[in-house]
Order: sequence, then C-alpha cells, then structure tokens
Amino acid sequence: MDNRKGALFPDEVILQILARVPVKSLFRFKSVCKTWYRLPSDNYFTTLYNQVSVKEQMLVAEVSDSSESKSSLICVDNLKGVSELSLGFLRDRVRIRVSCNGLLCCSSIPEKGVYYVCNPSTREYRKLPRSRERPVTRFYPDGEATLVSLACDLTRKNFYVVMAGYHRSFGQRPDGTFICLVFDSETNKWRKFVSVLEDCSFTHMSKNQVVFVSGRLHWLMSGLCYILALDVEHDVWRKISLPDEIRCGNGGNRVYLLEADGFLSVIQLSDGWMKIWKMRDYETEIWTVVDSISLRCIKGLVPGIFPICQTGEYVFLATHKQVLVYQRRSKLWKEMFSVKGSSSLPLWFSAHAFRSTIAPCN
Amino acid sequence: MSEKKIVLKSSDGKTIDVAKAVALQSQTITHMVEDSCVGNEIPFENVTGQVLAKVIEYCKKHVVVDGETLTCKTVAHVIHTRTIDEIRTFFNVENDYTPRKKQ
Repeated sequence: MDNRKGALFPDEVILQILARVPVKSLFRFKSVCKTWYRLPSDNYFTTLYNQVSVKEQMLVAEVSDSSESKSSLICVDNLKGVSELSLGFLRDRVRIRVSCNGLLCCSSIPEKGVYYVCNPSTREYRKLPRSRERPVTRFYPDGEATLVSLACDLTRKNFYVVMAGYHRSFGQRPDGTFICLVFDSETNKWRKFVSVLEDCSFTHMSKNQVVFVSGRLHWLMSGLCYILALDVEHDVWRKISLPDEIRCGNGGNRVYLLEADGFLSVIQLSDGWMKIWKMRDYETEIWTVVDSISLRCIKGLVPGIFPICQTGEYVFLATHKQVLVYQRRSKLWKEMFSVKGSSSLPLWFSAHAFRSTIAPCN
Repeated sequence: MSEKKIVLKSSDGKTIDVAKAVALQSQTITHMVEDSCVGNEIPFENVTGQVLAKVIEYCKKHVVVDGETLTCKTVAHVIHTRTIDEIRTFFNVENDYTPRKKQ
C-alpha cells in the first residue's frame, strides 16, 4: 500500500478489489481513510471501476400491481438476485425511458416535457432544461418524440440525450423530415438538427432497446433489414445491415438489438432456438454467430418472452410476469423473479438493461 | 506436493483445513503454495480467521473462470458488507482522519 506508511495512493491490487465492490459500499468506505475518501471522485479509479462494470449487466423493470395504485422498480442481478431500485431521490414520479452505462433518463409523470438524467448508484441527478420546441415545430404525430435515447460515454464522462422523430409543419403532410434534438451535458444545452429519413418506424421494444457503442446510438428498424445508427457528435445518420440470415427472413421475425460486452448484438428468437450474433469489428460490419441456444426447456414461454440484456456469460429475458436468466456455460435456465398476483403492465414492456457505474451526471 | 489438504492460518491464529483443489481456486493461494517453504501450512498475516473462512466458503461455491480477477471479485464480495474497522484491519490501513474534538 500504503497508508500504513503515509504513501499517497493504494496498491493496484486494492484498487482492483475496490473496483468490484458495489457503489454503495464504496461510498461507505470513504470513512476508512482520506485516500479512500477521494476514490469515487478520482479519475483513474472511476475509469477502472467503470471498465470493470462493463462486464456486468442487470435488468431493471417496473412492477405494478393490478390496481395500479403503486409501482416500484426492481433490479435483477445474476449473482445477487432481486433488489428494489429507488429513484426517490429525484423527488418526482418518473418513468424510466432509457438506460445507458449506469445512467437513466426518466420523464416526469406529472409534468410533461420534464426529463431527468440520474445515476441510481450514486444518486446524482440532473433535471434537464426544457428543449423549448415551439408547438409549430413539434414532433409528429402527437408532439412526442419517437425515439428517446441516452448516450453515456464513460471515458469522456459526458452524456447526450437524443430525442428524435418525424416533424410535420402544422396543416401539412409528413415529408420525411426527421428532427433530432440533442442535449449535451457539457454545454447543458439542447441543439437541433434536421435530416431526411424515409420510412423509419420502430416497435415498442426497438425504441426501448437503443444501444450505445462505438460512439453511436443504434436502433433496430421495423422491416428487419437495418439498424439505424446516429453518430451523436457529428449529427450523422447511417444504416447498418443486419446479418444476411435475418434479412432473408430465415428463422422468423422476432429480432432484438442488444449490447454484448460493448459490442452490437442481435438476438433472433424462433420457435425452438435463440440465436445470438455479435459485431466484433464495427468498421467491417461483419456479424458472427456467438451462440445458438435451444429453447426446449422454456417452450411454453417462448411466444411471450423477450431478451433484455446479456454478457458473455448469461442472457436476461423477460415475459409478462417473469425474469429469467440463461447461463451460457452451464446451459441452465433459472427464474430470477416472478410477479405475485396480477399486474397490468408486462415486465418486458418496461424492462431495461442496466449496469452500476460511477458515471457523473451532475 | 502430494497431500490433498492445505492448512490456512489466519492472523489471529485460527487454522482452516481446505481441500487442495478448493484452495488452489484462488490464484493468491496457488502462488503462496508454490513459493512456500513451510510445507502445508500457509500463513495469512493480514487476514483474520473470520474473513478467511468466508473466502474459502466462497471458493467452494464458485468455479474459477479467470484466476486473477476472481480473486479480486472474491475478496470484493467478502468485504463489501464489512464494518469500517474490519476493512481497516483487513487492508492494514491507518485511520488518518483527525478525531472530532469533544464539545
């Protein structure tokens, strides 16, 4: 070490250990000594911590009871199981819209148009300034952005919130104009840019399952030929082709876009199989099959099951009432959570991938 | 070494018998066994008996995936619920905060 001898900085080994301790414990350990007090704000350590956390994935979902009088958030971890996630520190009733690298973007339920970006692990949050869009230039068809997304860059320690959708001038037909509002955490301001993108439509799952890798945001487009990619810094849209097998319609049309350890991945569900592709090299856009998993054990659940997040070791899926995990090494399925009683909202509807990081948002 | 059991000895004098296969799941222990000149008994000067027992318990339940990071992960799992004093003892860290003055 050593604080034992008044040295300024702990051993690399101790840092590696502390990089694997839950954020809550890390904050508690601030009272161990002055050096440890500084760790959660130390650049080297937080970078290390965030690098380690990229290997883990958890699932966050809203659980509502049938009377809808109360809903709560659960967080499912592969090793630690289910715990409750509280966003009470926001002091507002919110709905989680999107999750990225430890940050959540939530919209206020009582106050339309109010958004927060928060880190539930550190309880930091920022209430975003309103984007000041005049009604005449608002999104089509109902003023709501089609795509709400969050790009949290752990290396640069900044984030962008992107809201995009078609625009229609009042009284006119939609003309393929795609408006994109981008909030930049460094300037604390919104900016706007306009593109022409024809025929982009998205399912509920594909809106929720936006993936931020290689500095770009990605959404799966309906029609299952392409992934829509946005380079947030340069305001450039691009289309990335899906694996040929999916584009040819082999294996059915249940396809989902997920992250896999920092890479783009698509998972295709057919009656009997779950097939996972990964794009190991973003530049070449070549997909490789990572795994082909038999769904025999969960046959009855397949029509209503959705993959939510994954690592190299496990895949989390959600049904209407359950959260399941598939362990790839042992090839075992396990139920991690089950809703008691009836519920109005399916779990998969509000399920998001989540990881615990020390990403700043304030 | 052909013996199947290893004895781990903690800082407070407690000993734990562990099957060699289990103990060698920790890379730290593996290195100490390889370098050790004291036969079967491995001393842990910085670790109390209670903590050592927990680490072994954890080793028994988990398969080694990647030796080095599992050791860190194992220790992280064991220590994250510990009290501040236990953490200081475990890592041999001095409390360099000045105590609050009495009112």
